[in-house]
Amino acid sequence: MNQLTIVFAIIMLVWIGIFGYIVSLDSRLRKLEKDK
Amino acid sequence: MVLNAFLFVFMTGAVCAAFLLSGPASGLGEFVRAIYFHIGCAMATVAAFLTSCVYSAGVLRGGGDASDIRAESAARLGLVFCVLATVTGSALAKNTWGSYWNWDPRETSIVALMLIYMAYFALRAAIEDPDKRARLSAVYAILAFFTVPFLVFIAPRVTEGLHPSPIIPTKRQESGMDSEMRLILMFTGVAFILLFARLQTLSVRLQTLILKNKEEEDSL
Repeated sequence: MNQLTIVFAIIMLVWIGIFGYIVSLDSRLRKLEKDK
Repeated sequence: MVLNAFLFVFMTGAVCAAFLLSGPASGLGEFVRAIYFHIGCAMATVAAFLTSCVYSAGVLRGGGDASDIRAESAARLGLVFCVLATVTGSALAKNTWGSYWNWDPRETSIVALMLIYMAYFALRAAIEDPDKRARLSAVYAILAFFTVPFLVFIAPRVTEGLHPSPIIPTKRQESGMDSEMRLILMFTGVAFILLFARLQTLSVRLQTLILKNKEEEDSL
């Protein structure tokens, strides 16, 4: 595996992590907004 | 939900395009891929500061807390993207010019821009009365945005610097970018602006909930 593939994989993982956080924050906020 | 789907498709597409479609460039080699993220962050910065200015005008027209929250969130996200653009730019500078910081006109102007928006938060922190804080910071945010076109688009172009000429060139030979590279650049820019839009809506919702909670606590 060359260096470029490793960097691509790391950036992809970071992006998927950020996206997962965004989706979970979105659902948690929706729940809180419903409770209010 | 729709914005989430758009964001996922665009950002994943942008990362894939930067790594799989774009080839190495002369001078930068494989490191050219960092340019897409650097300019994407810069585009999101301008979009965020513009949003902050628009909502600040809304505050002055009687928009109240809702506009104030939106203006502040946009300025905060703009500052975050501005720092990211500076960090990625610094890494590119090390690779291209041999040093992380060269006081190139564009580097200097981005520092000035960061300081201007840091002062916005210092101003907000210094005023306790919410109405006064909203109005004064709205005036400041509008004035601060007037410096953005000058610092981002004009100042770096009126003096000689290390950066390649314009980001979006009027003549092809000025930037040394081919059409494929420019297309990926625009795609990445859209992806970063969508990321800003998503983070902005989440931040506004969170701030609104915090404000409601505070108001409830005060009324008890």
